Formats: sequence, structure tokens, C-alpha cells
Amino acid sequence: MYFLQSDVSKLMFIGSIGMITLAIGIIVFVIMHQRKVIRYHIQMKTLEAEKQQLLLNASIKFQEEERQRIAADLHDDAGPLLATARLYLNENLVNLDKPAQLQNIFSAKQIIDDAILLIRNISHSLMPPTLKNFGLETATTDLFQKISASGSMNASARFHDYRLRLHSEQELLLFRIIQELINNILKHSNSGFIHLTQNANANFMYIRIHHDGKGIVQAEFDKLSQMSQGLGLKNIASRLRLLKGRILFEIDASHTYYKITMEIPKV
Amino acid sequence: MIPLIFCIYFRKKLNTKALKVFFIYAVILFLFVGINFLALKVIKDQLIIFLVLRLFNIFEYSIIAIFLYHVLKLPLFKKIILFSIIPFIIYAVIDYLYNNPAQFNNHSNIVAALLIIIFIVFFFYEKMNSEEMTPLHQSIYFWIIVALMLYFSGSFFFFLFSNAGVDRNLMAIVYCLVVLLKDILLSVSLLASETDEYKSNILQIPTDINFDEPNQSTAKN
Repeated sequence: MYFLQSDVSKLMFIGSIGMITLAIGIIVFVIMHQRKVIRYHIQMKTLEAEKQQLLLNASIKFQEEERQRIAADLHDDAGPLLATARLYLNENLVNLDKPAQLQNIFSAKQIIDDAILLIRNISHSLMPPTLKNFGLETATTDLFQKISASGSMNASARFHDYRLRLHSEQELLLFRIIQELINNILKHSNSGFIHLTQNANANFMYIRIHHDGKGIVQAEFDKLSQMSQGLGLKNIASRLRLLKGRILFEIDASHTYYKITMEIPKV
Repeated sequence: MIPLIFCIYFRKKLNTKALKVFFIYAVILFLFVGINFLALKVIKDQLIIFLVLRLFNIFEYSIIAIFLYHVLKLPLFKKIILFSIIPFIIYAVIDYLYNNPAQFNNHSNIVAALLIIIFIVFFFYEKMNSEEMTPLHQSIYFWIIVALMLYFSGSFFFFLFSNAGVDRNLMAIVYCLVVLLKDILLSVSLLASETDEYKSNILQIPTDINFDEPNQSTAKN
């Protein structure tokens, strides 16, 4: 170290080493501090997510229980009551003349039949029996057939790989999301066709809906689901959070179709 | 030269204003090495060498200041950096004109090093107060700033004592080491890749999943 013989050389050398050490010290301190901040944020985020999950679980479970209760009440109580009323109506008509009796009976029967049908429909819309009894595939296909039968649009659904069914709770959540999406498409998109495809790989199940109407892209979905009026989209987002799934709204490269793709983890 | 090669190789990453300024800095570093080499070996005129060094100092300070201006977010820091450029250039020119051009002095280098170290401290202060979730080491800016911090800290005493009779060999060793360290870090900076939290959360559909393509006959168009 012959070059460190003069005081100035020593000073310069020690000064440079000191400055570099100080610089490294500052850099290390900033990195450590930032790591601490990130860890803290992740911890807070996890806690917040857990809290949200609990709240969502409770509210959706309550909502679904309530729906099931209403469905059971309508089906088990209102239906038999109306049917009995129809019988009573028959007995009270004996004093009328025959053609009037026949006419009244026919009309009353028609109305009561309609009422029974109506109640059954309400009950089914609250808790689709097809979903409960036959699963997501049948319920979805059934839903699309009904839309197609209305004649307003060409609707179809195809499940490629649904050998491993999701849990009934997951199926219900997913069916509600599909219903909400279809409802939005019917209401806002003015599309002529709508098609649903399902497929899966080892870890995830995918559902894609195409339509040729006016749709939205991911940025719009993110924006709308944050706004106070986007209740339907908010419900989709919260149900997906419960399913630990993700959704992607996009437009086809040819700008002809809109695509909505959902990814649901297989549990 | 190494930073320029890395910049050209990773040119797709240079997509922000700050990184474009960084590219200009890499070009100027390369040009300075070339011109300096020519001045030392071909022209051999000390006046020209000193002038080149002074010009490089002005360009280097201005470009680094503009780079930091684009990297920093706080308006106060941005203003301080921006308004320091003109006074510094004026100071460097006056310092050159009022001193003997045949005698090299490092006053403007010392001022530039001090100012840049202060601006870098601004950057670290901003990062310590930010809510960003991306780790610092994943940022290209961070590595560039680390390179600059080590270079200006390491060469500060070199500039300070360059005219005070320090052993030439020691000066050469210290300066070469910090320049080498700076060039390596500047090059390595472009290898850093930031992961955007939002982008990573967006659904990426696997290519092995087949969906039915919409049948043209079913479409309206």
C-alpha cells in the first residue's frame, strides 16, 4: 500500500471507502424498510380479505337460505291451498244453471291452474330444481333452451368436460353468476346470439360466454363494479371472490364478438 | 460501452420517458469514452481534453437530472431538480471561463456529485413513503439509481482531492473501480423486470383450453 503513504492519499482513500459504505448503508436501509412496509401491507390485505370473505359468506348464505325458505313456502303451502280453493269452488256452484256452472268452473279452473303455474315458476326461479337435482350442466342448458325457445335470440350452451362436478354451493354461485351475465346481455347488449362453452383442465374449470351485441371490456367491468349503481356486477364480483375465481371481459380481435371468460378453481 | 450494448439489446424495455433519457445517457457515456480516447491518443492537446471533460460533466449532470425528474413523483422534488439544471450549467461555464483552462479543476464535478447524491436521497425518501407493493429490486430505476449513487459517492473524494497531490495510481484505481461498478450496475439494471400487481391479477386463459368458436351463421354480422 505504498500509495497510501501521504496523508491526502489516505484521506481520499478512506473518504471514498466511507462514502461508498454510507451509500450502501442507505440503500440497504431503504430496501429493508420497503420490505417491512410490503410485509405489513400483505398482512393487512390478508386480514381484510378474510374479513370480507366472512361477511360475504354470511350474507350470501343468508340470502340463499331465505330464498330456499320462500321457495319451500310457496311450493308446499300456496300450491295446495289454491288447489283446495278450486275444489270448494266446484261445490258452491250447484245452485247455478248448467251452462253458467260449466263456464264458471272452466274459468276458475283456468285461473287457478295459472296461479299454480305462476307460483311454481316463482319457486323455480328462486331455487332452480334442475340445478338442485341435476346439476349445473343441465340447469345451464335448460336456461339457454328457454331463452332460445322465446325466439328473441339464438342461445346455446355446451359443456365439454364436466365429469367432476363442483360442490352444490359452488354450482349455485356459478349459476347465479351465469344468470346475472345472461340477464345483462339480454337487457343491454341487443345481441342476436349467445353461446356458452365450458371446459376444464387439471386445476380449473373455465366458462366462456360469447355474444354479438354491445358488451364491455375488463377496464369497464372494473370501473362499473366499483360504482354504486353497478349492483349486478358487484354481485358477480363478490360471488367470484367467494369461488376464488376470476373473470375476463374482452372483445374478439375481429371486434365482432364480446367474450366473458371465467376461471373457477376445482376444489 | 457496456450500458449502451445492454440498452440496444433490451430496447423494448426502454418504454418510459425516464428510460429513454437513460438511453441518451448511455449514448453520451459511449461518445465520451470515444472522444476522450481520441483526445488522449490522437490530438494529445490537454486544453481539448479538459474541455471535453467539462462538457461531459455538464451533459452528464443535465441528463441525470432530467432522468431523476422523470423518476420522481413529488412536485417539489421535481421542481428543485428541474430548476437546478440552468444554474448548474451557468456555474460550470463561469467556473471554466474564470479559471485557467490549462489547469484542470473539479469544482463543477464536486457540485454535480453533491447535487445528484441529494436528488438520489430524494428518490429514497419518496420510496420509503410510498405505498408501492413492488419490491425495489424489481425496478430498473432502482438499479440505475444505485449505480449513480455508488459512482458519485465513490468518486466524490476523488474529485475533491484530485488537485491536492494524491498518488496518481491510487486515483486511477479508485476511479476505475467506481466507473466499472457503475457500468456493471447500469447494465444489470435492464435485467430487472417489474411485475405489475394489476396485470398479474388479470385472468390469463391457458392455451390448452378449447372453447367453441362462434359459428358465423349464428352471428348477426
